[in-house]
Amino acid sequence: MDEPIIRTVDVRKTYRVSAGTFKGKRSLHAVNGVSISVKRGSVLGLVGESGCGKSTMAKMILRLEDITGGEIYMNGKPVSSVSRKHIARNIQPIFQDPYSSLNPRKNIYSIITLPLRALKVDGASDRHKQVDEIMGVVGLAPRLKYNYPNQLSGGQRQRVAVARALIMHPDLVLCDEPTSALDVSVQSQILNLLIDLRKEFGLTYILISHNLAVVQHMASRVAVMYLGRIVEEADTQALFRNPRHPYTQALLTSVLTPNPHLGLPETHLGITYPNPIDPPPGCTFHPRCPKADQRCSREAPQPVVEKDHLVECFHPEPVS
Amino acid sequence: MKSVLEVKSLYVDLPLPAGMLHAVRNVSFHVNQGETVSLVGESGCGKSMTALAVMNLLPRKGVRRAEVLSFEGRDLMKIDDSKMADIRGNKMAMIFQEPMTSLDPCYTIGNQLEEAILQHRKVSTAEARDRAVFLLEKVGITAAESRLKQYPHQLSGGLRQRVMIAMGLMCGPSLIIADEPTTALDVTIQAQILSLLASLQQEFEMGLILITHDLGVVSRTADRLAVMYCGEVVETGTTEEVFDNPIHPYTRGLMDCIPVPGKTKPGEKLGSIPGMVPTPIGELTGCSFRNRCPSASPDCARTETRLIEISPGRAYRCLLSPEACAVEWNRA
Amino acid sequence: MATSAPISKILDAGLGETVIFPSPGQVIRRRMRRHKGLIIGGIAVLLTFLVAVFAPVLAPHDPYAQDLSKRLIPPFWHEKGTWDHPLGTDNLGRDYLSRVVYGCRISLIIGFSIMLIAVTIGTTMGILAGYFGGTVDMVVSFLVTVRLALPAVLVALAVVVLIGGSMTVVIVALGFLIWARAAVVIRASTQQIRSQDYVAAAQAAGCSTIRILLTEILPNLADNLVVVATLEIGRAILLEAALSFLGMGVQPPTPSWGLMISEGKEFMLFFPYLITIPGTALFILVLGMNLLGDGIRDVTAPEGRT
Repeated sequence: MDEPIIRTVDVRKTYRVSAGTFKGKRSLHAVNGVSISVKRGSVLGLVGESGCGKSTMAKMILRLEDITGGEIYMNGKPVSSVSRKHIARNIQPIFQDPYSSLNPRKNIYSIITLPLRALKVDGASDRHKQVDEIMGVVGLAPRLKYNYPNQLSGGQRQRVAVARALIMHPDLVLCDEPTSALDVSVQSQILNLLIDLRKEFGLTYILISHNLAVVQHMASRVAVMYLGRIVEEADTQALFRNPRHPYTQALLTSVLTPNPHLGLPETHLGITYPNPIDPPPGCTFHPRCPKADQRCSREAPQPVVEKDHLVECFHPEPVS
Repeated sequence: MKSVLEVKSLYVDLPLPAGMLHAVRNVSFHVNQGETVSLVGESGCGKSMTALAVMNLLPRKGVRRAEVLSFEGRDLMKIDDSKMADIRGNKMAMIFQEPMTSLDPCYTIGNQLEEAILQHRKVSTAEARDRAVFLLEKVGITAAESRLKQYPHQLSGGLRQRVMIAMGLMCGPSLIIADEPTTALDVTIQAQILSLLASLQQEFEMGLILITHDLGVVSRTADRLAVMYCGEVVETGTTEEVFDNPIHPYTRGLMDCIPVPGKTKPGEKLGSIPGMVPTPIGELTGCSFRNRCPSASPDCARTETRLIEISPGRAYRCLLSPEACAVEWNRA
Repeated sequence: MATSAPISKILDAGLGETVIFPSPGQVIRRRMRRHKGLIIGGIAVLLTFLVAVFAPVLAPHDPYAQDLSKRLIPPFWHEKGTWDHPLGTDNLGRDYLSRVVYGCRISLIIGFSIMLIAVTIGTTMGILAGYFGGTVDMVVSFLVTVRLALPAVLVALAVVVLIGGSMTVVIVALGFLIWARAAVVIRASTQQIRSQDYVAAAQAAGCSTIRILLTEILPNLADNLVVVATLEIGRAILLEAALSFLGMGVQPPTPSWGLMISEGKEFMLFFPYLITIPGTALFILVLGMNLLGDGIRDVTAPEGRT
């Protein structure tokens, strides 16, 4: 069996935040014990609402944030033992907002070649050739090479971000909401591009998104995060056909597919997403859960795997 | 049914350094009491500009003109600024995308809600307060009394958007203009806010203009819709008609672009609209979609397109007949 | 696309003008041409600069040459004035125009040097505080607070009294005193830039911290730096003039404007031009600098009013 590209074991990230004036500092568990593994060539979708810790997870995998507990293994080696440059060679990010992810003072050529220069890759002479090639691959007109980001449309900018991520030919591309800042027609262009690139270069993706339709379309495996923990994880088909955790079920019902014959769904979730500084006791989802009972408010459920379908709940739907 | 807002041949021009931007061109629609009309399109299609023109809140130097722009029978083109200011926030409420920036961080929720009505009505502070509590409960906020003393930053995004809706309702408007009201919210909250808007609208018999790029949202909430592209309405009709039988190539293209669980095959390529939206600056001739249209012919550049009505309230803007549109689309 | 080339050309024509967005440089140049304050300030500064550079050509006399027989000749617009000394002479018979012209050099050299020291210190501190945050930020903020609690002129006076006045002492003393504003401004903008995704992207690309500071953050601070630098020059020139006026700055016979005002003050009642002429020069230069600084801030603002 192939060693997964990324394997995280009980990863934690705790921030010390001030709870208010004169109240001292308290711990915020942004990521609270997450274990996932990403197989080579697969697409892992990481789903959850804002504040669930999915972006913190991304930053830790990229090592933009230090881990406060647990370990992340890249190709079997703990990332704390390898240099940031080594990680950069293997993992590259694509961010959500193409207006903030490109340095406005640099032209496209210089943005795309940044990883080459940072990692001191030899062959400055054929960098132009490399850039022309990658711009062709992501569908950017060659004439844009010396333009600045503000001269490009949102879709073009995101293509530049994709080109920058791919110039080093990384194994894993970490896409953090790659299309949520884009228009509908541009979103499909970028998603198609990501699909093509994956086939062409045999890439592995971690796709972070709140858009379940996009995740279902792109991902081969999906992990659902809630308040810093993975509450359900399964192959995409299994998870969408047979969601076992009440939170996943609620998420799925709230997806608004374009269907004029359906009304608005009722999610039974209550209105408040809990404050991560002050998470509820027991199962963190119990205040919003229609199935919650006494036990849920006292005890935290442990992850249970059944037929490769992980769920962290006392009252899961049975595996079909 | 009583018509609340009637817009006929609305044009909006904005002078830019590069030339005159024709942001909205010949847009007509109407909103009835208790009805949701959606303006759908991508960024830059003129949907927000249309709303701003109705509210007379265009950017500086922006010019609007219209054959008819009437709100509850009053001609908005002839009304002066102070009368318009009185209608805005009073009979016509607006809900914006980002609730954080539309609430003032320096004042409590209570202050802002009360101010919304005190500005327009001669009511006592106590009455204003009662109304605020009543509406906060209506929008599903528990412990409304204590919420009045809170500041916007103490509330979550979903709660803030609820407060915004309550604020819009303070004076009992007959029209709500909601510009991407749920785009900044999480999916689970989105459905709740939309249901809330829909139920309030039914209860108070208000007209609702829903501006969004999200086809899912439109299909679930709107009664009628107008698809906008490059400042023009390219297709309009009831939601069922447009979603079940889209005619215009742009509408069809948009619907093919989004992954739909159960319909699109996972991992397969999605439909896409090649190219980019042209910027409507300077002289414009012919169909604005022709450079991205799979069925375009040289005629599209020469002939002016107009909205062709195929049944009452159902129209599309293309030179081809609906049948020819379908044939061309399937061929491409 | 299925359409062949000629058809696509037909289709593309008449769809509105192709808008070519200007590059950041073009935007700034376009806004500059419309900004009156910037143009006026720029011209004032440029003229002063030219006067300073070409002082030997422009000055009709040696600014140090005394001629007691020609003491206190009034400027040309006076009935007793002569064109030999267009701006008259001072109480030692030195040509006033020549002294004002050479004074330009002194003011600009001092202004630039103080600014260079102050902005270098301030930028370094500001970038480090803004980028690293935490303890570094606390230390820098503390230093800034301490520095702001010291009255610049008094401390500079004390230093000069202790070490003795000279141009170098004035420059170094003031340079080490007025970096606080630069530090505050740069710290705030660095914090803002640091939160942008392109910095995260550069980190993820494996850039070293030094590289990120120099190639990702510093270029985006350039606008702010120019604004701060310009305003600091104006302030430095004024401070130097104040010190020289108090006799604790540049020492005679150097033609510094502050010193000229100081020397002229004894004759102020009967020969007011001794004060008004260097005063006006000072006013024009500092006003020009401030207009230029404000103007640059306006034209480089992300969504500046045009």
